[in-house]
Amino acid sequence: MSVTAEQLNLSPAVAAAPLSLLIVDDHGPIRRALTARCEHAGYRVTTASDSGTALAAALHAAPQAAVLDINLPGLNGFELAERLLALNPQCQITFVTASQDPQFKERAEALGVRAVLRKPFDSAALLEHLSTCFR
Amino acid sequence: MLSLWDFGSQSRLVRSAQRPVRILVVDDDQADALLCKALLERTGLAIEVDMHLSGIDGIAAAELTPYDSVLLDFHLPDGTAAGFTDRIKVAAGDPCLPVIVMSGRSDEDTVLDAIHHGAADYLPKDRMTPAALRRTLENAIEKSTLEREVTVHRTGLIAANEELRRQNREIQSFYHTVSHELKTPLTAIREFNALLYDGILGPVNADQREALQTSVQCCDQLTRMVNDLFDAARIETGKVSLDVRELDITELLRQEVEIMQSTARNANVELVAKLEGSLPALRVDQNRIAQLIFNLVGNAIKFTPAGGRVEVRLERCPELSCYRVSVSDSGCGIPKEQLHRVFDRLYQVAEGDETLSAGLGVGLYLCRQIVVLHGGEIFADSELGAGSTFSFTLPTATVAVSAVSAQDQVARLL
Repeated sequence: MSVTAEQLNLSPAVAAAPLSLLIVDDHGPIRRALTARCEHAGYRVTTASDSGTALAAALHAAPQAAVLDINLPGLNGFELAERLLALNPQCQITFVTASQDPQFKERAEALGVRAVLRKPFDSAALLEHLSTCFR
Repeated sequence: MLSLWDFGSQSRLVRSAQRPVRILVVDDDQADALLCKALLERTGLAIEVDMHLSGIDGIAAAELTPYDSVLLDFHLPDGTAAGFTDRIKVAAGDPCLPVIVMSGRSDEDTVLDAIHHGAADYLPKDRMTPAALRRTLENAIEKSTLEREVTVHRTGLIAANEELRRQNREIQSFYHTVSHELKTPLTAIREFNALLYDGILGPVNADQREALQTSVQCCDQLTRMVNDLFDAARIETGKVSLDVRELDITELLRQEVEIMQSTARNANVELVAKLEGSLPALRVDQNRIAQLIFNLVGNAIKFTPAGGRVEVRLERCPELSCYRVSVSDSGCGIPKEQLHRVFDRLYQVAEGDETLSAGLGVGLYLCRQIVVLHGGEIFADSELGAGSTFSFTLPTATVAVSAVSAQDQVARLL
């Protein structure tokens, strides 16, 4: 079962100034659920349903972290991650995917991203990972 | 005992004598060519003979006429049979066309060279008789007919194999799509339930929390079913391999049993672990072994009535070459006549018992495949009404890392 943000011992940075988080998923219900979860954990959340909107939002919101679906319309999650990292190399990327493509993990690692969460995931694992990015 | 080419009293050549046998004779010595033609006409076969005096002319003739066989002199003014044999076959568009090389006795070594270049046989000119010619022709044509049949079958098999591979790819792609499409809404359902359970969307009372917890557990159950189905499809196409790492197997089992405790409590089944500790680490695929334990313990709980007991044991085999993990339950047991089928794909418990029908019938099949991939063995023992024991062994010897495809590593949960 998921845990709440209070149980996660978030870093003082998160507690002091909300970190900007970009959530990109073409499935609306997943976006809404993740937004509720992450806002409750203290993040300032921006969402997008495709890569183009995500890049425009990233220019405006300057996210410090991004949770990206991989199968997206237009640019896929990997290509989007490349663009986001070009804008801000410090941006902490986490991929979420319902796909079991065994090559996804390798492609993520090639971008320096270790975190590939398989859907459906326990959001406690996601929040735990996000918090470790900023410890 | 029959020789390879002894097909009975009548050869295929004679049996299929609806049309004359067409023979091309290529010999620069016209007298030899005429003699050859005369001998052929005395073989008792219905025969049509064309004669040419050079290799080039022979090639041109083979291009125009579908011959059943070619009798080729070894020494020709424009080359030797070693060079012309293949060119005549290419010109005829028939790699199985039987070319028989004729030679003087002193040429035997070079004739062998022609055989190496694809000639079907050779005939020494000084031993050429109607009977020898007939026998050689029948054998060569029979052999080439068989070669053609083999080629046709082989081509058919290659095409069938390619078609199976294509269908496999299609099935893989279909399972992949189904898995993806099912999991996307499942992710939202699970997360919204979890948000409610965690009170993030407003306060919930104890009964509601319990209902939401069950709902999340059902989502997880559905996820495992989708994963099992996908894994079963991948295993059948040989696409599952292991991501082996050195692991404390005792600790892994302890964690897995702990995860299953809530399921056991819900079913009012006592779940106990008797794990031998301080065992040397084992090279295994953590996710796959966890999946294996989950399936075996989950089954044991499912088939054990309330008040029953499930016991997980880990011990070293007496000969120290493997570890043995066993999952015993005090459930309904499995009839003896079904015991040998429990690891079969799509095996289900006896029809008619609605309470036990949950499951896709791939769980134990996957268990067996996971154990086999680790080089171990899996066993099922049971007595009707007295419970069942499923056990498996994991060899202590390192699982061959070469069997592991890095590309095939499944994206793992953090």
